[in-house]
Amino acid sequence: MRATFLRVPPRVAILLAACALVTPGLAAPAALAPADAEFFESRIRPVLAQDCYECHRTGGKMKAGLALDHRAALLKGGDTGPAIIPGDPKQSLLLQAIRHEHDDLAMPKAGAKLDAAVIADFERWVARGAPDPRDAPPTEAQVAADTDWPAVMARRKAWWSFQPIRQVAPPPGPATHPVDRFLDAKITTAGLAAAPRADAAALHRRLSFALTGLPPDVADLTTELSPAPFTARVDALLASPRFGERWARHWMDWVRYADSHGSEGDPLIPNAWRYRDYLIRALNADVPYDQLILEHLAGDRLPQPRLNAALGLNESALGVAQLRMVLHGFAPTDALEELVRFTDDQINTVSKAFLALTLSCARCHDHKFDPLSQRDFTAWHGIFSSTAPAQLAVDAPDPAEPALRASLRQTKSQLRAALAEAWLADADALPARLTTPDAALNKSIAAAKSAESALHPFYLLAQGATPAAALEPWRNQLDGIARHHGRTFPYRWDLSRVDDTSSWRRDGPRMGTASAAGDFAVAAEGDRVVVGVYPAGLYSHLDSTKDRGLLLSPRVHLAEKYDLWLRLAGEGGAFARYVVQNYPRDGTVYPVQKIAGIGPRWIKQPLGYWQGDQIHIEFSTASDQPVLANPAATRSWIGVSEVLLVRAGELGPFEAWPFAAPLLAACGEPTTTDDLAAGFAAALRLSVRVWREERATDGDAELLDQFLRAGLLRNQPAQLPAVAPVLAAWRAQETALRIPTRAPGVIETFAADAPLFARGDHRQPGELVPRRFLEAIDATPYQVTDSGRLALARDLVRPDNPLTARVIVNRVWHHLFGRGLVATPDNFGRMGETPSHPELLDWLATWFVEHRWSIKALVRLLVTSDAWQHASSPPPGALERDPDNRLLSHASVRRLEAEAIRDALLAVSGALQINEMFGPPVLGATPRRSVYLRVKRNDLDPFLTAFDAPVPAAPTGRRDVTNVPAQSLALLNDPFVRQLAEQWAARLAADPTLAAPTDRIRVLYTGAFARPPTAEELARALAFLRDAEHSRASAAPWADLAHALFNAKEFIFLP
Amino acid sequence: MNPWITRREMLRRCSTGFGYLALSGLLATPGRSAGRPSAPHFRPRAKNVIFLYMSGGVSHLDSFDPKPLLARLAGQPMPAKLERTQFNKNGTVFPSPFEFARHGGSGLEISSMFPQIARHCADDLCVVRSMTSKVSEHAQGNYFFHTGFPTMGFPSAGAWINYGLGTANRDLPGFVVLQSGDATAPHGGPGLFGNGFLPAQHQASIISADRREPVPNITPRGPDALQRASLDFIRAADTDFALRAGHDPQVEAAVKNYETAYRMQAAVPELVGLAGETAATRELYGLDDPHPQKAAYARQCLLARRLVERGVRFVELSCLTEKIGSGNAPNPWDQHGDLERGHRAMAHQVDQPIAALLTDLKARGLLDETLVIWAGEFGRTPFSQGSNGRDHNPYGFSIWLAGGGVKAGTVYGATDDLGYRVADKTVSVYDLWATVLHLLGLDHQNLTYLSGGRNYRLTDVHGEVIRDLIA
Repeated sequence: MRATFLRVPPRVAILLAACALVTPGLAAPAALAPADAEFFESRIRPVLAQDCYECHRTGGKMKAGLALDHRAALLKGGDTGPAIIPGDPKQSLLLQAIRHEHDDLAMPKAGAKLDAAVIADFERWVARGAPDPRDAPPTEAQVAADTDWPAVMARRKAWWSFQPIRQVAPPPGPATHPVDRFLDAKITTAGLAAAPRADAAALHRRLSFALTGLPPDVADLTTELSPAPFTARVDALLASPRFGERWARHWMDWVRYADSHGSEGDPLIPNAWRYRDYLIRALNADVPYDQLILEHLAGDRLPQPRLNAALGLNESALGVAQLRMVLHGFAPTDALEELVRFTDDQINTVSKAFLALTLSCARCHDHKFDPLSQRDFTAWHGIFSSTAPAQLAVDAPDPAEPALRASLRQTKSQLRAALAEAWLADADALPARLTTPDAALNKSIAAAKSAESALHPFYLLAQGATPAAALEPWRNQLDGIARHHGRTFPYRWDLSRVDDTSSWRRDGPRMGTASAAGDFAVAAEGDRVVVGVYPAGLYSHLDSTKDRGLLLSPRVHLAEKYDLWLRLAGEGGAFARYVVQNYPRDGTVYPVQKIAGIGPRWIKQPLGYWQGDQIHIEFSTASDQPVLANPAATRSWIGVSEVLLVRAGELGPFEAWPFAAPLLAACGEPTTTDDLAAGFAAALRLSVRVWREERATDGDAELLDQFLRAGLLRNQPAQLPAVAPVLAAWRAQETALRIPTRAPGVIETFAADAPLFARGDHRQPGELVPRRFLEAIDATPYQVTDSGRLALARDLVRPDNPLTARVIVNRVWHHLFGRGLVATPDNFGRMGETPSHPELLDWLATWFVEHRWSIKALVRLLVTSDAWQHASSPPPGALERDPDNRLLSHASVRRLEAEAIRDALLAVSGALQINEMFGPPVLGATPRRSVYLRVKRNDLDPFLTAFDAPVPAAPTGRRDVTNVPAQSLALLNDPFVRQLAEQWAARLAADPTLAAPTDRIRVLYTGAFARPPTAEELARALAFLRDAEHSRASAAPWADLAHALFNAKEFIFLP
Repeated sequence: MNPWITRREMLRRCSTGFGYLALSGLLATPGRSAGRPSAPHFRPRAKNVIFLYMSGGVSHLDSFDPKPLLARLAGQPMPAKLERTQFNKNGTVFPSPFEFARHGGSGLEISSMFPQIARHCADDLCVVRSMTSKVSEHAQGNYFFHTGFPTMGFPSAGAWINYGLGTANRDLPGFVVLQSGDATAPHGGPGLFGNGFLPAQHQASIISADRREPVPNITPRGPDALQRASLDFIRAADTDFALRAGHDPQVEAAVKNYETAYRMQAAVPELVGLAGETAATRELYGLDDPHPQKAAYARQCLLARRLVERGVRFVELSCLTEKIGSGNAPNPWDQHGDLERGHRAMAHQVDQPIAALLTDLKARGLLDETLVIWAGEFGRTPFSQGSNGRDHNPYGFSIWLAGGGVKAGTVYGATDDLGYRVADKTVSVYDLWATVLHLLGLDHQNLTYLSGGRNYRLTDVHGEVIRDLIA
């Protein structure tokens, strides 16, 4: 091989011969000929500077003792001798190195081989005597100029994938299919002939697995596969729901789909499976690819989202779930590093999946090989970090909902009126109750040890206090309330005020505007009417506890040590927390309040630990935390009235009981218990009246709430005959309200540009980089007030973006042919491979866009080509001239993917629950299609993993196809596989039409291989059964045979 | 490997190819292996690695790094600026409840936690007291220590070493993780032992040393005669198919893979059966110790020796939990509370078995070519967490190496007087692996694999070989 390789190619030999006449000598130190100077400056110097100086510069690294930065250094060379011999490209080490002639001397190191054109330039240059104007090592300024980013990028942008997609026509030829015309042209040029068409069994299997991931239905095998029926078969399979299941799994590889976040605890990503279902539906519905890209970046931001009337879903919003399939560490003490890392994860996925670019490689510095700058990375970092992880509500708008809510609210106001009547009666009865309390009330009074209880004065009375003294604790705190309101805090949000709430991100039907004091929540179930009566603020449940509520504060930079104070109420596992640098999990230094049930009260969280970091404060209902959400919770609520940041060590807010004010006012200066009781009754009467008229103050609201809790107001339907029917009506209406459907996503929150991190060090933020697309395509900053996701999405599919269409066409080609036209489907950069058929790739990209970005149309186009239907036997000469079959003169044998192997085992044995589609993930023992298996990062399915299902850490456009003993061991010894063999055998045994062993064997072979057994195979199988029964006393010879067929290579390979 | 030979040609040429192919499994694996040396870069000092992973984080202050100042400052606030801790429940200076003494001819200081190691092996250890990590949390710390990156998706050191050196046993995987009792993978899960983007045959096989089925699906489900008959039948069918598939090399390799699998069915039980081990050996390791966790760990240690004898390149052992002070199965050394009792129990579990392993390896002449690494993902704080625990401390802690060409009976580097941060000769995880690779004859900068458009290394873009550790 080496000898062949070193043979001087004829073209170079001619060049060398021509140059010999020029009598090359030492490179002239004097002024160069203008042509030589021009050639050096434009073709040689930029390459040396950009690709070599980093390691070979005077005073720099000088690896191997070699500098390439001035003439004398080249001639002197390094440890292994002169770098160049002017006039002799063949003997020049530099050229041997860049031509990769020696394994251990292949330059540039760790980089892609230089373009053939560049190598030719160097050959020409050395052959001409290596004219070099560089008398001395360059200055820093000179190097900076030669290697400055615009110069580097301009050169790198010449790479094929950044060139516009060319409008090409298929070359002439006898083939009718345009794809074949492109392929045949090269096959013919190579002096080869294409293989004939594959046989029917091979084609049936190939087609069925390619389109549906399942073996062909035995009933369909009778179909002739001449072209017309073949096309009909293609259309039938494309129309099958199995198509979406198959291709969704491919797509899940591209976006590193997972059901959990990994690391310690490996928490599930709640509702991740809804994204998988979305993909299946989208692919079955053949939603245009450009639409799906828009949805993957900004489906929640589309002016006209794609709605699914049947399921009541906003399909578009489900696409952004892919941004949440990131890895999350556990309780990182450096939260910013975690933010940068998981944002990098998003950037890595989006850039690889849709552009086949490795933008992540530009996180710490400009890309080493591609025209991608660190500023590009940072621009995208700004886009993605301008959002926060969340659960999105993905329901399609329900046209009936506004009317339903209107009538709910109308019924609720009837409830208010009816309750007010009853409660006024309670007020009339109150003095008697308080002065001669019954046993229950006595118990409540005895428990009212704290001044935050409305019955506290009666507790004090019972302890022997005078009526006047019984009110003292409340009087004392009036000053405190005044002080609290007069104080200034580093941060304070009064969420009953529009000015303060407007800076918060609010989501949920009742989170838009603060409620008035006295608004109340009705109990949807149970033996109470009212859940609570509230001061002004934001409450999620004023229509229903089914409603979601999500509240995110603006971002706060913790310049000092603070304490966080929250005045909140909630029930049902709602959440209150602060979020550091968008980290969505909890654990150790990330405390979260999960609220089982509390009335309005202050809660404190120290923030000193996080000084220097950015946080925001977040409240949500139980199902609406990005990671901690409990998808099973149907009812919960959260209410917030005030949020404060206090300097650590300073007093917190005064714990005020606003209900005390109206009581004090009404009680005046009581001298007797009767006075006190009468005052309470008067206060209650007044509060009920203003509440009835919707004029209540916070004090009135809290008074009513307190009296409800103390049992001084009736709240059970049975006690309230006039209220009960209204409550029943309200409850009947409320059942019609939907429980929101949630899915993982991100929400717009804090749009801001990101700083450039010096050498990728997040502790060294530099200048801000505007949010924008890639400068190699368009460096214009986005003029947006949001994160810019929608703008980025549109840039991904803009017509002059040369990558997106090529990338998807190549991915589909890869999955159908086993190898992409570009063999590295995730990398179209310099470190990736170049296209084997660039014209075909461009023609397909154009065709695809013209055919409304239809994946099904593209699949149909490709599988109906002759090329796709070739037999796998190599035609004469193909192995010698095209050993890797890049010309596609024949089909490449392929092993089935992990999921297809498992699905085939299930399908053939009859165990597969083929009509069970969608829903939460299942474990491997469930006989459903593998696309529905849970992908838990720390606990991946062992069977699928053995057969190369990807580890979901990064996009995988091309899976490994390995051959490890674990595969054979699984098929031989895994009890699950054996059980399926037994099931298959039992099914045959139960079929009365299959009494004859030969008939059964035929069914087994046809099921496994889509063809009947040959006579020899029949005889072999019969002998195997006979031996099994007689010599080996097998308990289940038919299961043994079925199991053996599972282990045949024909079962897992497609010829 | 000569890159100019194509995959097909190479497969075609390998007349004896099957053993090689079945195990190397380099069929259609993406990326190129230009970063894989055809021969070691240097003269190797070691052939195998045994990695004694002390998951959860051992306190250096209570084992190999004595700090008398802590006793003088006991109960006082830490006289230093503190980094953020994992639990933010920082107490006061917490002196070691263990006693240190000098041992062996070298006078190496080892605490009373490890009496057997101290008595028998002090002169074999090369203690690094200036180890650091970048992470102070278990899962990220475990990933970082194993792969050089703090998240899943990257190859484990054992995978890199197998990729670099190839396998020396046809019937056993080259990278084995041992577990016994209720030992599990550390936090982060089995991905810690993964091949990342390297070809799959470099991933670890987990051997459950005391389970009926030590490797999943390794046990034939029926009598051998039945399985042989099935294999013969399968072979006949495959021969026909391979012909029809144009003798596709992938198909042929998959056919031959069955023979490897068949042989592994015998090799693995032979390995874990401990056949041929004497009563004296069992006694030495503590295999029949009444303390079940210690007996289980002893079994791993003995198996580790058997594995390196059989040419397995990289063996990692897993501690068992004693269920004390936050130390659960994935992080048994994690004594956020009850440190003294917890560390005492954990040390009791591993002390005799590890001492026995070193002694046994030495007696058999294997220690010279086997590098033993003892380390956890981080150390622990010199101040208390709560009243009697210690929090995580990645800013300076101790590990030790033994055998395999390291300087025996020495101490390298130092932490400050409080044992909080490195004061001298900082060693990073990258440096450690660079040195380990060097001892195995590999240049860490030239052991690379192209993935996602970038040539990756175990040492990322960092790492210096610590020459002073090498004998």
